[in-house]
Amino acid sequence: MDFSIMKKSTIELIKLTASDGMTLTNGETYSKEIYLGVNDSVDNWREIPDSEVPEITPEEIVANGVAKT
Amino acid sequence: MSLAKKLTTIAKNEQKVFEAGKQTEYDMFWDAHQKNGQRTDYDGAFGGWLPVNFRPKYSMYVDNARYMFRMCRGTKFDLVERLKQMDVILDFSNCSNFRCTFNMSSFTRVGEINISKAAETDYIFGYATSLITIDNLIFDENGILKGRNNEFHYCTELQNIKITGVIGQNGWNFNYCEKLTHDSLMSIINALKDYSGTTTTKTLTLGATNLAKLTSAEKAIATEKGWTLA
Repeated sequence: MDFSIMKKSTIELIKLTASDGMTLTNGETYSKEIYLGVNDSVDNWREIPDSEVPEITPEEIVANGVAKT
Repeated sequence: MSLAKKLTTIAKNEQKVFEAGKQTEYDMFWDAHQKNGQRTDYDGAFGGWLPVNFRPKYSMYVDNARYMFRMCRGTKFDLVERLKQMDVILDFSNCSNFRCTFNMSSFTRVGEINISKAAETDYIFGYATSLITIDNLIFDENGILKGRNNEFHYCTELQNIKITGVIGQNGWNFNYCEKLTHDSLMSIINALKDYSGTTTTKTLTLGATNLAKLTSAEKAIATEKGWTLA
């Protein structure tokens, strides 16, 4: 049997998970967990309290005619 | 002709006359509403309509789809089927404004939506809470279109989406679309622009439920192209 076509590769994923009551953000995206892209850095992300995560704005609610549920 | 015969003839043709009248009314309305097929600015054209009344006479080559089907709702409605029934085309290939195009509509399925020339996509499908399938969402080939984080806001029933073209910028958020199939998620990931070998970092929001559907290897397809998955 020819094993020359076998290939071994390693997958590395860096996952950041927010602490209880906190959310991860880079200033633009908000999430409880993220998987870092190869060009991204842990330093670009910080934790903020869930209460500080931006809600949909009143202008957007009016524009869409329904309140956020 | 005797009066009796006249009355008989009238009675025999009543339905034909009625149908002819209806057709005339249909033609008059749609000729005006679609400018005899020449209309391209469909801003608000069907906003607030009951979908059952959407029976266009002419194909639509749209350059402005702002609010086009906003709040077009009633019973759940397959837009692709209706266009087929009416034998008309809905073409967005030259459209630049998609603000709230399908916002709060009750469509279950939309066909090919070409956003490759879009300058505005705010809430294009936002609050389309019946939407299950987007046949083909076409991005530009250079990945220049930036999302607004609201295009799929509350598309809670969305299962099927095929992406053509390149997603190259931040702001595409599928967090509310927890029913997306695995194939749909892979279509999104495979459309991501490859930034490996650069210092560029981009972010795609799928949400925890969707992330859990992907294997590590599948997530790595995105992360190794320079995309952070949230």
